[in-house]
Amino acid sequence: MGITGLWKIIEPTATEIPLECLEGKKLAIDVSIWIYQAQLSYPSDQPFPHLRLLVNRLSKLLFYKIRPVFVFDGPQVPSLKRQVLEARRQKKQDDDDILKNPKKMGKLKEIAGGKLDNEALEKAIKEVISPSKKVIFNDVYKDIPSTSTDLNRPETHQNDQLVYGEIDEDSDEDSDVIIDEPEIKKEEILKEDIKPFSSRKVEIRSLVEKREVMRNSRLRPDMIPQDSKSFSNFQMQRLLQRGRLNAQIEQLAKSTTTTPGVYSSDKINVTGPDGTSHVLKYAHSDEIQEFRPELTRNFDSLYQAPPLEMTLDFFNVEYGGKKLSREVTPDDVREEIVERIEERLIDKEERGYQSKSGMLEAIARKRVRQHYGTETVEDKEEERRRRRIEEEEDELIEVSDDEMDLQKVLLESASKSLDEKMSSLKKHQDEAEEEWDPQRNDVPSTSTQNLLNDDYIHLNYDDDNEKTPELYRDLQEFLTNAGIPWIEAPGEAEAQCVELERLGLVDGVVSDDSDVWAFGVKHVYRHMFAKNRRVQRYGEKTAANRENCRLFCLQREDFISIALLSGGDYSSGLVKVGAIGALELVSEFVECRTDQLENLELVEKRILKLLEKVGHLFLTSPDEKRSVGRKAMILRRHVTEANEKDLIENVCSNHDAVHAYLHPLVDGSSEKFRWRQMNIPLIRQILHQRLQWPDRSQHHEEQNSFDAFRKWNTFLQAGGRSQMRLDRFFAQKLDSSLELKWSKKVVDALETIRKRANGVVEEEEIEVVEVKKRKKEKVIAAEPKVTRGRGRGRGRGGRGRGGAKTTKVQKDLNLSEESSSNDSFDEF
Amino acid sequence: MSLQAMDSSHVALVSLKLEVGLFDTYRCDRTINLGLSLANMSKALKCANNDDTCMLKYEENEGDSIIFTFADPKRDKTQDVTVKMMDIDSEHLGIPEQDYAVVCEMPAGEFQKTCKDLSTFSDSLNITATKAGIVFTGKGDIGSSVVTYSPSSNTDDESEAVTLEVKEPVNVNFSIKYMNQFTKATALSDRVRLSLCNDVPVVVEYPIEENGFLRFYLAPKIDDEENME
Repeated sequence: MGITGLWKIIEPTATEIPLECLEGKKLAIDVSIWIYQAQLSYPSDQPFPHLRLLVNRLSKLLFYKIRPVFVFDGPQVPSLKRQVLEARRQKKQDDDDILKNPKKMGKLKEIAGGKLDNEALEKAIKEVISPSKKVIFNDVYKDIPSTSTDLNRPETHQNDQLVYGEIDEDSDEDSDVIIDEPEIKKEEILKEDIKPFSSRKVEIRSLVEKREVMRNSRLRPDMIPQDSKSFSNFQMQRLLQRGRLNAQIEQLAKSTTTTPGVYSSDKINVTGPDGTSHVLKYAHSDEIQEFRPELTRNFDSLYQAPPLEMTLDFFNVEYGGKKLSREVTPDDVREEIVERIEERLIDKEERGYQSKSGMLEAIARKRVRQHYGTETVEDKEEERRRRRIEEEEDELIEVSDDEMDLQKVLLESASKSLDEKMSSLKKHQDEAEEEWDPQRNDVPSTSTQNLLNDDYIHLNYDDDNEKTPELYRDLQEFLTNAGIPWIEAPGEAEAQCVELERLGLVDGVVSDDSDVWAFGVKHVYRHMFAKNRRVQRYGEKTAANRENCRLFCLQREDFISIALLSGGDYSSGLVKVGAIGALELVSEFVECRTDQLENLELVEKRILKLLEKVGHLFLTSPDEKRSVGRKAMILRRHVTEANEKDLIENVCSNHDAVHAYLHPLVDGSSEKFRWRQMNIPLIRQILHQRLQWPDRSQHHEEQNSFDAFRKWNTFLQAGGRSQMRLDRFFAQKLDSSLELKWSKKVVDALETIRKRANGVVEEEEIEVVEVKKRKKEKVIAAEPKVTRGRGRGRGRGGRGRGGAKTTKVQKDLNLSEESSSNDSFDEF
Repeated sequence: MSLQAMDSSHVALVSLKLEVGLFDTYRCDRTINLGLSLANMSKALKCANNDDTCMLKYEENEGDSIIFTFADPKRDKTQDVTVKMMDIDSEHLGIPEQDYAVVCEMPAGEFQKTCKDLSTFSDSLNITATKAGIVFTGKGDIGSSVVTYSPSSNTDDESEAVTLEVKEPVNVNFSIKYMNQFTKATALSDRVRLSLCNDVPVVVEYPIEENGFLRFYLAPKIDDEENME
């Protein structure tokens, strides 16, 4: 999701440009969230939505003769990212936790008060438990003789680890990657848990590993047969191979099971590649049981959970998100739902779908909306809907084992909505008193699966555990056919994009992810595919944004510091410290860095030092602080109030995150990219097949795409060398600034950073200290005066000999600076 | 008085500015845009002899034409040429201000020769400028020609010097055909100034005495050596 709030700070340096300006440019396209966006933007019956999205966007790029290089995410995402994502999720989960959520607590009290009539009571309970169905399942497991006791033994210890395991599962959806470390942990857990079957376990494990390897390994284009026949054979073989492995695993898994029925399927999960998550479930149940046994009993009586819940449990993932439980109809619940949905909508708008997890939530939300319409409806309607859902969910369970695996994965990665569904399904099952039959799982899924189910399946591919490989392969295959270069990053796509730019292989990066800044990007194009916005270009100074660029002095190291302090993919950040707060902190402690900006070691040292100082500011008592300004003190109070000491320590000594930003795992090959002309008939055939375009009549999307493709071909035919036209520059104004201005806070911080970063810092510090000796107030009074424009000389508590020097440095920096430089910011 | 014109393919633009000081008499009551077909205007101008004086006249209430009056004082001859105006949809183009990464000044004749030389080898001109110097390269099938100027050339004569201001290195390609057209203005001025920036039109400027300039803007060519297949 990038660095929280960073775009807001950077945005004023952008210029909006017409796409024509980009003709012939080589741009690295970060596609890491495209498949999720595709889920959102097309109806769920769209086959290959990701491909459709790709084709549309590719058409746009090619129409403007932009030479795209598509960059896909790779499997090796820093474990830090997982941890951060997990922490976030954990937080959300806490919000839903009965004990930690005041609202739910209130409900509980109501229940306890016994003043509610039956119906209300039931509803209240439902609301309370909806997010934590583990409580219920717990009961079921209590009766399980062998495995569960086994599982129960290493309780606390196990829980810890399991949390890890869950991180793994959870972040999978975000990073789409498997990390070795947690994987190993999970395996360990497995071993521990199921000692009786250890030998088989080992066997299974090796098989599972093998399967993972197969899934993870990606085909290089050169491994793929060119000829279509051999290609299909090839594909088939791979599929069969995997199928065989799966069957083997399954069989082994079944044979390890000593308990019948319920447990057998249960076992499968334990042993299967995804079974690990099942083990998690036990742990969760245990955990909860520990906390509130009475509660459990309570629910127990209400929901005498039939064994069927076991299956549901497989799907049950701790999302800790909102449960839009369809059965809960009372107003207060609805309110809550609406409220939450609104929250999330706001959230979404803010983030603009920049995070994959956000996207997934949105996908889930979309589905919920699709199926249940708006959330604020009459009870009656809700009732009706509920029934429908129940029907739908009935079908949901009709999946084969294999499918179940998939489903589980998908479910894990999907979001609460699934949870809800499961919960209502479960309840429905309750009511129907159906008997759970493990064999049901063997019934192959039917084509009559409703829309909802289809959705799952789609999503499923998507998150298909380790990485949406299928989806990516679809896209990659298409791109290869289309003659468009693509590259799969070893780690994060954003980092790879930046690396390509650094290597000079591309002219800029197309990404909406502010992480690119922390990876050291120079030229970014944002909103490339936004419908109603013009492309924003960053990193190029033109007349339109000269004023803002002049002020803007942040560099990669600053972005990294901000990421750590305010929160990014690798750091949870401090509570209540946004990008601007972080910027102010950076401005307080930034050091001279006039030399060796490119030396990563030095940069790393500087960042760490800065963080250390920040940590020092927060962790020491006020009187120990020497020369800090008033602003720093305000920030200090602000931060220490909201943050635990541990968190501050963690954030400020997060060497790993700094390292991860500075040394992302990237492919450093400098092989040049090539663009081939498109074989239009072939592409047309592929697309017709895949996207199920109507055969005869061309619809406009197809028309547009092929217009663009033809234009592209003409462009390449001309040798790729094109004479640009002046219209791009003059007729439409070259570009327009966004007319955005920073707030005074930001301007001040930027000023300070620039001053200090250019070596004025020492004099300043000396002066501050001197002044402090004489009169402390003076510093304090002077600090807020740090203003823009000619005010630069100020804010140091005096204009000694340093003043002249500062001005000189500034002049050197801003060649075009003139007296007008004050104007733009005086409005504040 | 300013004149702007773009070629039909919209690759190059000429911008001529003649300040009031250049004129013997100059009167303009309000800012006005006059659209003329360049072809027609040049027909009119061809009527003039080298030593003629030229008067341009436009009266708002006298219809849609401009009168060129050429006077030959020696012969007491005047010739009026009336040229119909044309509708020009666009206003005077606001050429955006641009910070150029490289500004190079050199003798106009030098530039003309360089362009001419390179054009025998290539139809495209590569200009690479760094702090160390400015390099004009024309590469073609038959061979190539590379002209390098170092800014440190210590010519006594100021008008012979090549000066170079480089904020950022620049590497751009242009159609040499257009450049050759531009250098026809060499007669106007001793010096030419090139303002360059990556991916932005180059400005070739010929100052006209102290009171005006003739500027050519030329959109760059996008180079893609790796995609020649």
